[in-house]
Amino acid sequence: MNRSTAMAMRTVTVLLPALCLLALLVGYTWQQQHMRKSVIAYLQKQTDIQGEKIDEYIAQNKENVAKLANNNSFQQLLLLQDSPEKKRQLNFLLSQTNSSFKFDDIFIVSKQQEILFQLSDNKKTSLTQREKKLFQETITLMDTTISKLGQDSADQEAHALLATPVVLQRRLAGVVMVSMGSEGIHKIITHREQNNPYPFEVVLAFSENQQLHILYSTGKLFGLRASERIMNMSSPQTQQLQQALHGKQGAGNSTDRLGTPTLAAWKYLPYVNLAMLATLQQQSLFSSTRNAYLLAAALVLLLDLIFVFVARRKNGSHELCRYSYAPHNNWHQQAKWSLNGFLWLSIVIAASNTGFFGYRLIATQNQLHDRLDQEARVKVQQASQLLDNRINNMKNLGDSVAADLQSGRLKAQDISVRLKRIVKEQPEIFGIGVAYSPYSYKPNIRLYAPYMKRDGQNIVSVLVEDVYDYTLPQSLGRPKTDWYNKPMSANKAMWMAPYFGSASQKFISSYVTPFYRANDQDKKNPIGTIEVMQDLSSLHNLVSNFNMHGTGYNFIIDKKGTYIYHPIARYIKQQISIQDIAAENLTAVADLANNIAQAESSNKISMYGDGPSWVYTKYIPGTDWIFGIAFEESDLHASNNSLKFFITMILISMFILTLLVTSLLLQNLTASIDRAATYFAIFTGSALLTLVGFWSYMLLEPSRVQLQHSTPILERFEIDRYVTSFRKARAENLSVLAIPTGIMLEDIQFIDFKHATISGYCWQKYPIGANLRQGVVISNAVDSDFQEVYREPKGDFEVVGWEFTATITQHNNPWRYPFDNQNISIALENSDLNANVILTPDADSYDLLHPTSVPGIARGLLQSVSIQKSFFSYSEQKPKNRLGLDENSHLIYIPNLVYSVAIKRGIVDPIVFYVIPLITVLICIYLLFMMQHKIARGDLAGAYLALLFTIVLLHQILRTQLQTDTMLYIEHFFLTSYIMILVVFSNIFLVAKDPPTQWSTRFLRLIFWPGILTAWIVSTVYVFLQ
Amino acid sequence: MGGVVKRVLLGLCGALVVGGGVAGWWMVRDGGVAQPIRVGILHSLTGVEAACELPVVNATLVAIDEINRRGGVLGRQIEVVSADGGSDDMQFARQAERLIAQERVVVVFGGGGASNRRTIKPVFEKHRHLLIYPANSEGLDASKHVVYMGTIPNQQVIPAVSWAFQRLGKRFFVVGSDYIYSRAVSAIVKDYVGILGGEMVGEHYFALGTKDVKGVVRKVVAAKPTVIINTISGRTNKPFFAQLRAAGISTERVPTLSFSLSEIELHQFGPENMSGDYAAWSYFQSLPSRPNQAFLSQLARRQGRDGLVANDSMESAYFGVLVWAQTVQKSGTADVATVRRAIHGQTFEAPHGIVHVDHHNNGTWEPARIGKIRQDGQFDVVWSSNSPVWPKPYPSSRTPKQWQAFLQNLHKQWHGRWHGPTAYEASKK
Repeated sequence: MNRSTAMAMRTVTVLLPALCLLALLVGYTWQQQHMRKSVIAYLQKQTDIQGEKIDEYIAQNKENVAKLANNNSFQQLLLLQDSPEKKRQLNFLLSQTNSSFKFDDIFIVSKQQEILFQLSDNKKTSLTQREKKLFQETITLMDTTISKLGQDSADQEAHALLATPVVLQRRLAGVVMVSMGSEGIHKIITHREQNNPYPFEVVLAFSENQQLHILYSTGKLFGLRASERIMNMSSPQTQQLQQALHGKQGAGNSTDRLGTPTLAAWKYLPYVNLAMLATLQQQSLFSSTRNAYLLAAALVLLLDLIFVFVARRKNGSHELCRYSYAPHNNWHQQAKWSLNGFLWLSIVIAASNTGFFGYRLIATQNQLHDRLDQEARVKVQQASQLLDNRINNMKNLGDSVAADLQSGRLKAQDISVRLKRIVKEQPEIFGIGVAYSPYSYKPNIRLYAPYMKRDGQNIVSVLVEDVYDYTLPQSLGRPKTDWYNKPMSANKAMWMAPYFGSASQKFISSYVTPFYRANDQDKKNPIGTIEVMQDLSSLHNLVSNFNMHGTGYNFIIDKKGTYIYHPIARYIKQQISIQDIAAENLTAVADLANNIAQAESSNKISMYGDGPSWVYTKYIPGTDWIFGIAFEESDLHASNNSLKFFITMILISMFILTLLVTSLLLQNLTASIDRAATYFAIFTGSALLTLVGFWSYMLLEPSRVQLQHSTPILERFEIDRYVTSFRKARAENLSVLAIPTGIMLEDIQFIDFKHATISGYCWQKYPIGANLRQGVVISNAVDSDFQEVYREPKGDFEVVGWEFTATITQHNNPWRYPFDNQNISIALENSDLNANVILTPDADSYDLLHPTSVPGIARGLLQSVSIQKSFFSYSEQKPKNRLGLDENSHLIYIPNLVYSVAIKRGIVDPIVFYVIPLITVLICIYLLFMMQHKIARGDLAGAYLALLFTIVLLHQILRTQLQTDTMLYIEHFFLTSYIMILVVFSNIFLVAKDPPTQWSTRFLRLIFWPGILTAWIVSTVYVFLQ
Repeated sequence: MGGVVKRVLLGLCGALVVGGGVAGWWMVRDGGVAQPIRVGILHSLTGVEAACELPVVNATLVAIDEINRRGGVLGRQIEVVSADGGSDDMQFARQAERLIAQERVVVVFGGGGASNRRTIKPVFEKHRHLLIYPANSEGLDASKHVVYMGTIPNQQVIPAVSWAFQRLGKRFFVVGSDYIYSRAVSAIVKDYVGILGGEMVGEHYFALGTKDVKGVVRKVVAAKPTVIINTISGRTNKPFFAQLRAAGISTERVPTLSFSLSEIELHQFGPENMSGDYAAWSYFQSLPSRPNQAFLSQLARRQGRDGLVANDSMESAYFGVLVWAQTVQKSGTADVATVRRAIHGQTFEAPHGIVHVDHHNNGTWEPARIGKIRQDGQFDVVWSSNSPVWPKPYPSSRTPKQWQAFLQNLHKQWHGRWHGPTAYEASKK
């Protein structure tokens, strides 16, 4: 070989591929930049268009409100007495306004802030704080219609209030207020989304009390919990929304709350005082281009490799390992050099890839941890602030009554009126009472203790002195009197330990403050106490909004560690402390218990149970309580697809790297080892390791439950919230009875992918005297049998229990078998279809409703599967027909209560039954193939056919057992086996030719195991990434 | 060897030729070397109004300097053509015509006071041009060719009257100068005092530029108001407040709420007789926001830290230029018609907060604020609207038609001018 040929060889095998790869890299970078620019421009245009539409929508409604307020007929209406006729006329007037005028309610407020008129039947008695502020601002600004976005309570949807003054006969008559939900905005955005070339997401946020609240997040408006509506103050999205709220428009890179890179455009919407952010995930955008470029790069490398081998064959050096023995042969030297160059190039690329993905994995993990940490700190801070506000409000109420009594502003005869007004106006107050010491109220009256408490919708007045003598010391078997005696003897205000009120069936905490006579300036001799009580469930509602992710929960403890709030109601009822839990549970919790009482700031404490858990605590200054949030770290990882992608890429890059390094070593080894054998051993080993890596990850992956068209009930407070909203939304004049229903599964047998047999117990609590047919129906059961086993009165209820067995239909997708989930859903309905009954989870019968606590599963159930979650939800998918009932039937659509169990399939059975036999058969085929020159052709064909029959039989058994119409993951293995048998079978005929073909045998030896394993890896990656 | 050197030299020459060509194309691709964009500034640089308007010119130049330092707009520097309105309506009209027709500016910043603006408005409408007006105005006007960067009555006067009614008292006395701003504002105040259920106990309008206020103060004392609404323009303020105090009307007894007294006037006349009284604006120099601190730093670069004074009109002049530049940048052209259309909907973080040019009229969304005058001539903000207020050119107390009739009457009464006889004219008679 001359010098110029050698140069040409180097150019073709090394320089040209390197240039091609470089060109691909440049091309990819350029195209990515170009695409990025055009997508950003698109997002900016969309924020402009949609922002203007939203602004226009609000502006139109503002104009409508202003027109209404200036309309003479409307003003005349105000002079009329409140009557149905007035309402009819107003409705007529409203029908004359613009059709885009959509509102939830209209009410007119007088100058004295009294509600003069309200359109909806859901009558307000007074204005909320937000409405009062808006009223004040409206009558100050006077000649403008103003809008305010926000939410009155933590569990309520944010909505817009529009207000404008009404001038009647050239005098200010009051203010018209219109309440609007965000449905109109939702419609504008969803309408646009249908025509999007890039399906971007939209976030609308506003600022209130220096916090950023999400009003709208694409598709999740009604599913977002209040805590999710408050954004983490440090995320890039939040910063961009903050920028928008400062009037700045912009676009660029961003990351979502889980750290996924996105492109974003943001803008301020002045009419609504909202920030708008449109985002698009970069991964989804660039993945197809990236894959195309990666494929092209792989093709370049493959062509290069083929060229090297073909060139070697042409020059007589076709035997794989011969060239190294001829050091003086120039061509061999060049060929070796070329192959080495190619391998080095590939190794550098593979190593860079591995390093890059490793770095991204660690960076993403760190980013997730930081985000989690910041989010938890923000939430714990916000929750403790809210609690502190609530507690201060209670304290202020008590102190103001005490101050007024002492100063004489509140006369003794007016106490009941004042107390009643407080309970009426303060929904979070359960009750308030004044208790005089003996003969302090009047010289001739020994005790006087008026007390007002909430009883459902009513306010009940009680005279405590008629029930018991509260001045007696507290002792066993007698009513509690510490609430009076302790503050009196200590002569100071104090928080009483929470207790379970047996009469109210509620957990109560109270603040008690003594009061004095007007002339007792030193406050030495209290003449009684004022007790302000709050129902702890209202605190639960407040703090439950600050849960973190799937397994997260929160709690409140006092400084001794006793639980004031915990999702397990038993802990509060039995006054269990965190130290008690530590004693019976984990040692790490003990450390937590020791540290937590001193916690005065946010703390992160790692515990080691099933996985690392974090606990954040914050001292609530108004009391001696500590608020905490706890959650498992694994929850966040489970929901992140980026991590999964990086793990896949690392495993594949490492696999390729191992092969390349092995090839390079073998290429340059001069020792007389069997290179081919070593090469194949290493290839097979690393391929198997890669496969095991994927399988392990799939096994450890938490099961996912699809919750389309349903609302999960994960905590007890969510039951009341759901039922209340359901009643409010649907039952205008009809009463809907809530029946607590529980279920306990004892056995689950899967018949096939579509059917399972279940058995266990089910019970319901019927109000005594309820006139309806009792019983439960499983609406997705093919057949079921219920046998009543007990019936017991319990308080106001009668508990009825049944033992049942049922065969239910399932809708699991088995294509990931054997790494799939076997979820079951049991849809429960009341057997009386003529009654308007909504079934509710019987929270009192379970410690927790949270999915990870698997409520309703008997211990020891099903050893072969792993039950990961169980929970209740409401299925809101309406039937597509009226079930034969009249359209005007009084029956209303009631969602099913669905009990779901997420089960991870046991992996042992499928491996023993299918994978091991299959691999054994493949090994037999390979051995036969290796010995084919020693076996007669007819015998060889017979042996192959026998092995094929074995595989077909196995496959047939699998199909019979699983009965599915989709192709399963495990069937990819069967498919590979069929192909391999066909190939080796064909080889018999090639070898039988005259002269016999030898290359095919050598080639098959080379690719038999690598081919099978590569096919398996490809199908595994495909399944893994779905 | 020589051959190699020759080849290298030839290669280098080729590269130079190609490089030069590319660079040349780069430079001329936007129509040759970037020409500056000519903009006009029209204010009273001389005459009685000059003292109040020169600082506004200064603030406009600060914004233009800032843009030029950043590299200009669309890569072009801004060139200023200045014109002096001479505190005279007709002079304003002539200068506006010159700037548009002869100087070919693409926008005019300024417009003087209310009567100057009303006089030059037809010039801008005739040429379909664009005026960016920085001062607060009496509203009752919504020209497509004027962008009102200052507040209008529903963002300043009406909230302030309502606030005063709730906090200061129900008997109002209005004093102003005899020109369109005071007369229009006075009418609006009268309407809203009535709507709120208050009482107008008197009103008086001084000739523009007069210092003779004695009789009026006696009239004020006799009417026993609880609040005085002040729209007096310029130097008449000084003797008026001095006479008020001399007559024993303290800020505690009868506070004054001004719509024409800003930091500039307080600096010029001294705050001694005015501290404790109130004024309504969107912007106060004492606002602690970061954008305001940045604005003051920019201003200080031009006029020094000592005696640094900024007021609402200066701030509006400053952000008015920046909003215009933002529009040009976004539109990709400085063409008058394009910018006039594109300026609607522009949002900008001004020193006082977010401003937004309304889609429907040429007003800007601005917050309403009330400040209490301090001893040092600055303000403490005592009330502020929660968010920017929608500009509404015609207050709802009358229909736009009724307001137009009101204006026409005044115009007629003043013999085709937008102000009554000035003190100078009166003295000549």
